Amino acid sequence: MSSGRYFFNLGYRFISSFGLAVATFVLLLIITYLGTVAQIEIGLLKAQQVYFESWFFIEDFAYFKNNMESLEWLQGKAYPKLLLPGGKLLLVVLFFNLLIGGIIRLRRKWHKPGLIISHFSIVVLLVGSFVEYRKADRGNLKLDPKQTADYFTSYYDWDIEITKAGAGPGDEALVIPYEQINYLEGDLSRTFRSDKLPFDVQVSNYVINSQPNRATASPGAGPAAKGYYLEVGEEQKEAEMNVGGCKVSLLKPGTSEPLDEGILWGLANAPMTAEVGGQQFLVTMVRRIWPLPFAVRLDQFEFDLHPMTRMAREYTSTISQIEDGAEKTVIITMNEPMRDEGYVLYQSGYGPDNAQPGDPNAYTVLAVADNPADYIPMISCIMVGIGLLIHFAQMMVQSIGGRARNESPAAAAAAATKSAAGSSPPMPGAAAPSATLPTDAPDPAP
Amino acid sequence: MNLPQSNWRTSAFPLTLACAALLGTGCSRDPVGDVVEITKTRTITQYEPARAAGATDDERFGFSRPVPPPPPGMAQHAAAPFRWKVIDGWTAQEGSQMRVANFSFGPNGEGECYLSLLPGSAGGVLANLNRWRAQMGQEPMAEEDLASLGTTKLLGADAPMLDVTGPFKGMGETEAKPDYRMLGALLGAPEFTLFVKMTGPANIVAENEEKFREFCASVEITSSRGGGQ
Amino acid sequence: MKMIRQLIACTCAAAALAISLPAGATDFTKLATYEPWPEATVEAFRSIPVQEGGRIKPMDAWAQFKLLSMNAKRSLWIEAKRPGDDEPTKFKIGYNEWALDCFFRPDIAKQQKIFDVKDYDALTRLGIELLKDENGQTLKKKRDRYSYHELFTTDREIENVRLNELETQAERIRTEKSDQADWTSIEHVIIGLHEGVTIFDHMVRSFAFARGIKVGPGAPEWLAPAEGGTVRFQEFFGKTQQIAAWVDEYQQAKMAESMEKGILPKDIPSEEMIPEPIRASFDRLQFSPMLLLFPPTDPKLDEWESFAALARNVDRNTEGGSDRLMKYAGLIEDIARAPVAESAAPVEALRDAIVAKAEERTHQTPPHNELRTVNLEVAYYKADLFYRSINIFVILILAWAVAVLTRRDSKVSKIATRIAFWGTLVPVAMMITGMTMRSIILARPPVATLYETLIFITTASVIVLLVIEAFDRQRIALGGAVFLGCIGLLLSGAFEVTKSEDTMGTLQAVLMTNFWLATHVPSVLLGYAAGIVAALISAIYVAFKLFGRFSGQPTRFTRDLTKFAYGVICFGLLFSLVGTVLGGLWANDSWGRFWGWDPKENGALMIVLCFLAILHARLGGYIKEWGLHLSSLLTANVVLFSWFHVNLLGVGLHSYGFTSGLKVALFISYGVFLAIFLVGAVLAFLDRIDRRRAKELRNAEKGADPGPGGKRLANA
Repeated sequence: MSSGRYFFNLGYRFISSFGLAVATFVLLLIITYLGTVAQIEIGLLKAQQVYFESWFFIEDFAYFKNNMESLEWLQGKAYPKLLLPGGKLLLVVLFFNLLIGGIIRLRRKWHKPGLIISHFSIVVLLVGSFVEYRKADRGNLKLDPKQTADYFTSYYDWDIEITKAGAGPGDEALVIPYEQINYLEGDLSRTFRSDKLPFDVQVSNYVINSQPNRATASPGAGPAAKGYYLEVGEEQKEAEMNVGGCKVSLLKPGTSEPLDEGILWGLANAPMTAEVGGQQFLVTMVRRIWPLPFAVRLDQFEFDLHPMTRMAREYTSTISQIEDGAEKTVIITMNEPMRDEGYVLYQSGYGPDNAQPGDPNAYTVLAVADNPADYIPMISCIMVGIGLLIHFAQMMVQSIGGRARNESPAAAAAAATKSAAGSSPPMPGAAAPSATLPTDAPDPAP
Repeated sequence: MNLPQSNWRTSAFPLTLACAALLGTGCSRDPVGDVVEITKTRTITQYEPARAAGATDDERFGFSRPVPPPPPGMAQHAAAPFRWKVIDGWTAQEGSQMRVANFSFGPNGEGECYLSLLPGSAGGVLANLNRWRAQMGQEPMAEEDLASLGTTKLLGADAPMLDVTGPFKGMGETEAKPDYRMLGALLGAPEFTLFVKMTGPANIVAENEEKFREFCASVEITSSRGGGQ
Repeated sequence: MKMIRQLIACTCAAAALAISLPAGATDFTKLATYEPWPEATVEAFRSIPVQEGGRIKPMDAWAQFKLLSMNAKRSLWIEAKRPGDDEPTKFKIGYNEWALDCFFRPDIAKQQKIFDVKDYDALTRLGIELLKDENGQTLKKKRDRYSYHELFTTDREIENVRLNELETQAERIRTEKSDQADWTSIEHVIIGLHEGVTIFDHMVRSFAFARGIKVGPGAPEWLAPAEGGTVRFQEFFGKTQQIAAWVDEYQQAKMAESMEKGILPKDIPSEEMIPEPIRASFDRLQFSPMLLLFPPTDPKLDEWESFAALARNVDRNTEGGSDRLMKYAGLIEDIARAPVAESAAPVEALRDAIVAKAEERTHQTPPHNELRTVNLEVAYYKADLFYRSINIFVILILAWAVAVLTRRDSKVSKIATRIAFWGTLVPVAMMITGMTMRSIILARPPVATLYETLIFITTASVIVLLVIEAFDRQRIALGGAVFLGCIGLLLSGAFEVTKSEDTMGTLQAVLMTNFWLATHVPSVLLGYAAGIVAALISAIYVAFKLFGRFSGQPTRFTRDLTKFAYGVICFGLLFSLVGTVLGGLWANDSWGRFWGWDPKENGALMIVLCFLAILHARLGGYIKEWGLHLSSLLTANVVLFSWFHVNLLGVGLHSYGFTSGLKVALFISYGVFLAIFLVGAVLAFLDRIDRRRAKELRNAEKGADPGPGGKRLANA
């Protein structure tokens, strides 16, 4: 046998082994725990990025450091730093482990259909989650009474958009995405260009949670442009509470000669206007905008509180869906979203904070998701339920049957022999479960 | 050792490796300092709110302009959002928490006129007018009599104006001053009640009656106080 | 072996007895005389509908959680002479009687020891002087119950100073430490006392007017009191216009006077704005807005009104408001003026008036069917099924102990086993009935709050263990069933006391969906139940092994235990996996994402991962008997984390659960499972050494080298 083939087989056996599956489960368990308690310190979005959407991460046990003060013997102790596999890596490993070990290697065991079905459904679920992770856009849409909208906006991503003054529907906006600017803190700067612009855009001083103020209010507190600077606010754990801001300088193309400068702020009332070459351009920072393939108009928004409480009982938006001139009434309420053309619109909230039931100015907030994998979890759920039911039912029948056999010493001996044929040696007490287990369970890692 | 031999295995493993490679392609950050081409564009949708050009930074960031100094001939209160015309011959006196504007007039400053403000309805128009009447030793008037009162322009509205002559006994005073005259205008706005009250010897008040009306008519609200957002 | 069982059984029986013994009542309220409310009065009173927390409930539920929140008990003991008694006797009164006292006999209510102060130092911090007994000795007990008069005395000035101090300190704690987790135990006591005193104050104020309005000297003739310095409320209120005009006049003069002096109206001391004689009347006219007793007349509204609101509406000249006020005021006055022995009729009259009004609303548009379950709820609390189940479980534990203590094939043992097995069906039926009643009352599956999950999981676990017993008949699972049932219900009872809130509260909009509540939640909870039951079986396994090692006898049953634990884990995997995915589907429909790494979601995932890891490790041969049991014990801690701990973290969308007070219990539970795990780990290690030694011996006998099997065993 060639050594290549040997190593191939070794790798194949490793990737499909029970050992890898168990190790993955245990590691997932650990990082899920760490990622859960870490949310107290760093908030959901950060924890999600650090623990679950990463290949690797370094755990510094910040939560334990900050919450175990009552235990004196832990005070001042140095906590270890651990390099751990991130959720992304573990799920990818799990995917291949399942695919090869749980389906391909199991495929000849048609007498165990339940196992194959449930493994397959988890593979489907993982694929669905992957598609969702890579492809889904999530945001929300605030609708005032009678307002129409055909777009939704992101919770976290602050893009810079550049348009010509007077640009309207159908015109183009240039977008400098959040991912390219969100780390340009302090003096870090970066220049963006386009043939469509008579200037380059230099972005710097990005502030994750910012608040503009007059430079006179606190001279020298930050780089000012036109008398304003950005105050650096505390980064909020609820990432959607942060309001991005940055400084932009418009440069003569290809040079560092400034033409204009200004402060961009996510919640500004209006864009920055720059006049270059006799034409006005609007530069603005906005929550990322995604178009909807249809328009929605809020016809009526009703919400109801439990009497004499501030606890919501129900909230319902009556929406007109407008597409190609045709209107259709749709009702969106808690737990009953609207699904159309791959988009899902959910009832998410309302405002303003002090709104009372019946308030004519109350607005609705709809969460919007564009998720191509929306239906996959449901299919997977049904499949995994059926699969496990079949399997455990089968096991139970066998177990009761096995039990009946085990009553006689001969049967016990038979079971022991059967078990010995597998990986583990006969072992007191293990006979009953082994009788129901796949007898060809692979060896633990050699 | 029984190693797997069948064909599908040989093909499955590279396949899965290829999948792994695909999954592994993540996005990496571009280095800082480069000039980057803007590649992303977006078509503005039909219902997006239009973006206004030409906004100043003050407007963009919700800072109103600093409050401009009052136009010539006008005076304004430091904190309360009111301003008024400076009246010739009236001497501005120290205001108080109660009195937004406070003046004296007359040869020896015998007459006084002030503008004051109470939150809410302050007990209602009639009750207040009757209180004033009582200070001038007059009988209370009835609701129906309100219509017969004269008016003066105050904050752009016609405010009922009391005009009585008689012995004046101010709050806390024991002796009534004879032959006094009182002009009092009162405006009940939803949030507050505005009083303008002039008292003084009848002859001096008579000289200042027009000025009283002029003062009332000039009172205006400064819309914003500036500074904050 | 027999000895082991006897040992276990004796311990159990002792524990059961300890549980069932009534805690010695020490907090007797000593009164000279006390006339108990007649049964009929209480019956009528408890079924009066009240609105609270967004729903209509019987007074029974309202009063119950009020007393529970201050007293940490549902009843109180009194030592007094009742009419017809020669000597003072000790007797218990319930929460309905107590509420009646608060409403109609505040002077008695203020002498009842109902404020449970868990730390005496809190009183010291509040400047409340040490209490002296009749001999002048200072009574100082760390935890004790006090009456309102004991805490605040009968002296108005001292009372005001102390109330102010309490108010100030509570306010300071709340503003300085917005997170309850930062409160010290004394601060918790102060806040608790403040809340209790506030509620109590509202209660005694609620119907104070019914005992007549005091009018001070110097009142105008038309207002002067006829007898005893009080005016009947109806009479007083009839003169509202006159009084208002008089007060208005007085205030106008005050305000204008101060304006001329340059004093802002807000700076005038508030008592100066009220004429002297009227000030005296305030005492009984401070209506409380807390008790929402009166159905609204406007069919569009579903907010019930308090007496304070009725009185306010009269001011606003609401149509018919005055008639309504007078009608209800009259009914309440009738109760206050009737002798206690004859109070049933007027209480019934009040209830009937409210019920009639509420029933009228069922025919209006839109219809309000508000009384649908009020009587059922009264029946629910009267039946008290969960509490009574505890007592039955205690008897069953004793039966089980007898069964295990006697010789297995003896008649006694067989009968006792049968009693224990079939008897367990009784509390199971009671718990199911209780949950069904809750379900009808709430019009939703009874699984939406932490309290309900405790009951649900207890019931499910007992049933699972009974099923195992039906197959196994070794009486091990049966023992687990009776114990778990008893402990689970005791815990849920303790939880109810700690929380002292209506456990049938209304839900946030996102939870108001019966489909998901009936699918996702029970599935996940059955997963929890499986984790707990598996850990219980493993704990029994550890116990058997432990006693087996000490007694030197081979242990039986352990093989069965492994099989059960394995089966239960499979069962748990099915439900927790399906439940978790269902939860994702629900989230996908309500929050717009399938999985959001929310703490509660993560908790459910962690349980699934535990089960998966155990099953796959078992299949792969990495763990054997001991490995399975040890990991199932660890899984129990993961279940506890997911079930309770994530609600304490205070982050995430799911934290509608309960927070403080639970932490200590939680950490104790962690510790218990961890301790059993450690004992198990040591035993497993010893077992392994034994096995290796046996092997070596065998090999030595055979004269062969240890083969690969031996090596592997050592590695396993």
